[in-house]
Amino acid sequence: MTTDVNTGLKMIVERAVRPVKATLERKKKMREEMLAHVTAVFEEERSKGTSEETALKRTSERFGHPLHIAEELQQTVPRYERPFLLVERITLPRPGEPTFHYAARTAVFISLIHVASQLVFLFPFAIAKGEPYHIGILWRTIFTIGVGAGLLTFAFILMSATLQDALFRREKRSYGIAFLITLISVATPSIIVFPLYCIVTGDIHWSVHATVRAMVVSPLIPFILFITCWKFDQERRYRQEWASLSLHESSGAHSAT
Amino acid sequence: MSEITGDKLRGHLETMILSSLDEGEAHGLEILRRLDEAGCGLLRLKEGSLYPALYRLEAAGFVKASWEAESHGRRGARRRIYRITPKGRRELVKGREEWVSFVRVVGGILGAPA
Repeated sequence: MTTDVNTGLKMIVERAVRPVKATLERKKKMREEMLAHVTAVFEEERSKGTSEETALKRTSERFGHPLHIAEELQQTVPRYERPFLLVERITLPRPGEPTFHYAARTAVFISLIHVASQLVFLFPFAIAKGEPYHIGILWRTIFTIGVGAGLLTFAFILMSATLQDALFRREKRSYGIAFLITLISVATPSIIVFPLYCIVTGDIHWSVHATVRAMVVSPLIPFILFITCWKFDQERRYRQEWASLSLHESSGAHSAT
Repeated sequence: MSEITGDKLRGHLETMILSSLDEGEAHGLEILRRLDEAGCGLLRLKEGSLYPALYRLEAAGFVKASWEAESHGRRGARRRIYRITPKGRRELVKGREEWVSFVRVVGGILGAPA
């Protein structure tokens, strides 16, 4: 099967799936299942002795009008999926978006989520206890944890993107940079925990103590980072592969040679 | 005999799929083949429409699906194998009863009893 045929088959599927507003996971499932279907149909048409171009055209005709299928597929997406879809839109990188911009956007979102969830779950509890001193501490904690979570997210995304380039992109491959990122990632929990504890408690002794405790988990960070960036790289390739397909009727679906 | 196309099939596709799966588990293309054989080649269903119907049946708990282990060269794409559930079998019985009733009533109106 030629590359043009593969692209043509994917385009038949993508025309029906891309307009559907659903989570990436659901769309992946749709794409894979329908691609298996159109591939089998194409092979069936080819076995009748037709050319690749005719077989591709017949496959597209048999599959049906993409917009009608998209409408029907949309109706199968449950309403409870909408908030997840919104989170995906905010936290997944957009095509062509600079990493710095993506990291900043996601960090702000994570900070806001942390602050909001603590205000909803923690703050009413403290108000009920009614001690002004504790409430003052609580405000500071909520704010600091929110900022800390944002900073951690920002650092994690930047490190993950750099590690991805250093390990998986042929043109940017650099094991030296990968090693440097690994070292930085080991130190990251300590770098973030110490100032956070200083702000919340105002006690250097306790902050050092907390930092030492945070160092216990530090060796795990490179592994988490490596797994994350490997998964992110797979995800990026997948999204790029499907997003690069042009959905215009004239540009490829029937241009197999 | 004229072909039966999408509009006439509307509302019956799910029951037909359940009936097809009552013969045993199958992937999408196999379901279509069974429908085509049972319909003596007169069913003209746009194949892409099968999947939304299968997803609806799955969401309702009438069928269960699992990915096949290997893609067997279909450009890395695996098929999902569907099988009818006990709830789906009950729905199929209900669907058949509704169809018999529909044919009796509409056939009577049209002066063409079944």
